[in-house]
Amino acid sequence: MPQLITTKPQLWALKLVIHGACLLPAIWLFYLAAIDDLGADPVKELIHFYGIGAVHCLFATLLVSPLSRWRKTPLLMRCRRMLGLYVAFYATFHILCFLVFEWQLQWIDVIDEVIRRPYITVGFIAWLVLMALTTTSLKLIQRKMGARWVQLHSLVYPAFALVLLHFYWSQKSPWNDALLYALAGTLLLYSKRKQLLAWVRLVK
Amino acid sequence: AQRQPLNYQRAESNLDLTPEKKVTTYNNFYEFGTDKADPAKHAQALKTKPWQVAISGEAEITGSFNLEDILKWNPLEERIYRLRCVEAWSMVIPWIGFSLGDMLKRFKPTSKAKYVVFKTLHDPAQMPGQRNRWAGGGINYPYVEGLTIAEAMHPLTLMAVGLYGKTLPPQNGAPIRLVVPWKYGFKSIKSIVSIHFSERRPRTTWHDLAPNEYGFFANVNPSVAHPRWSQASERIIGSGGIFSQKRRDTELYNGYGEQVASLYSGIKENHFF
Repeated sequence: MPQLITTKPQLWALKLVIHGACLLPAIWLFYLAAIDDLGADPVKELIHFYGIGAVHCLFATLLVSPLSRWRKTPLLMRCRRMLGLYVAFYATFHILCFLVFEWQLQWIDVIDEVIRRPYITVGFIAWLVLMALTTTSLKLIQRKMGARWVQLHSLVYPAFALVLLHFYWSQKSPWNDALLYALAGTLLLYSKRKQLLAWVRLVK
Repeated sequence: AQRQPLNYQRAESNLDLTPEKKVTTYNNFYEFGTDKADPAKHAQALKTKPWQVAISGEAEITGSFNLEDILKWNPLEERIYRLRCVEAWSMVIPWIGFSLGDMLKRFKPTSKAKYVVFKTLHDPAQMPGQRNRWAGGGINYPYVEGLTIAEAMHPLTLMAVGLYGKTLPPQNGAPIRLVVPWKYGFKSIKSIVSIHFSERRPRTTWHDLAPNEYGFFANVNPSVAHPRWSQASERIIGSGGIFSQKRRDTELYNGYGEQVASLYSGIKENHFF
């Protein structure tokens, strides 16, 4: 099986493509929402778009290591941190749109929602985890933390599960796309069960 | 679908109307898909002519009636109502129709008629959501809704056949739908083919699907939260993009309490939902 990418320039090209694929739609949809050209309810559209964007980036991030192992392409791993940061980017805009446009910066009401609505609580906890991972993503911090960094960053798996639960729980009716995402996510977590069990033992 | 202009008595109102484009592209009509943009995309071929409404149950006059004839019974009038969705957004819509009570009186409901039960068209060939559980959000079709006879006879309860001066577009429930402005939107059933006078309270669609989330009465009430979100305030679907959004505090009975609160003076259940 041939490697997917073998040279540095190929890696840079791939990174450029990822930047484009993540940034351009995020900016374009924000523009459409600002000029009221994104359906009847641009707020809902934007919140959903950023939320699902975060889910997509999260799947991509978690698929990097199996893909690079399968195609014996270690260079691929160099894209993972960047994809992980885009998860945080999308998730943060998802929350900002909820706070600023949906709730018009009514902090008290938003805090109330976060505490009292389980599906929002779950999503918020996932976001806090993502923020912990983001702030410790610098190479320097990674070196300093050593083995603890790996432990901390394995929290991406529980965060992933919480994100999928948040997505499914937010739906009005029981049969929807979020169920398919949850199914795919369960398969992905199942395929990583060995790492997960090792991590659980380590944390204990 | 081509919308026909209607002759009707105009209404005055100081409410800010939701733009027609938004009223007709932001719809919960799961028979045509669960995304709010789906009905406008998938409902355009809905055949609304000829259309019949079957009247049955506890009434002296029953049978099947052509919509054309039903429309001759009462003059059309415009009613500008707030619409509050259970999902915590709201619109203001200029409906055109006639009072449901005026229509129902013609059938001479008997003293046994305690509830009025409505059904939406069941036609999987025309409605993708009824062909496929994924497309239809897992709802059991046909969609059923119901009112107490007192609610049905209330002068605010409207049978709508148009909006913004023209006949209803399919995504808004053509050719004939219910509008109950003091209740959450899901009570206002669309594309009605059957009206049944019943002695017993019917099983209604959303209540059946999630009884802890959607009540039978479903009166708008800011102090009773949906289990998954607050109902204390609502986002107004108005004109403008994300930088010109507005929220408002939700009113008890959606602001129609003065007219309808007396309907519930003896009913405790209503205080929940």
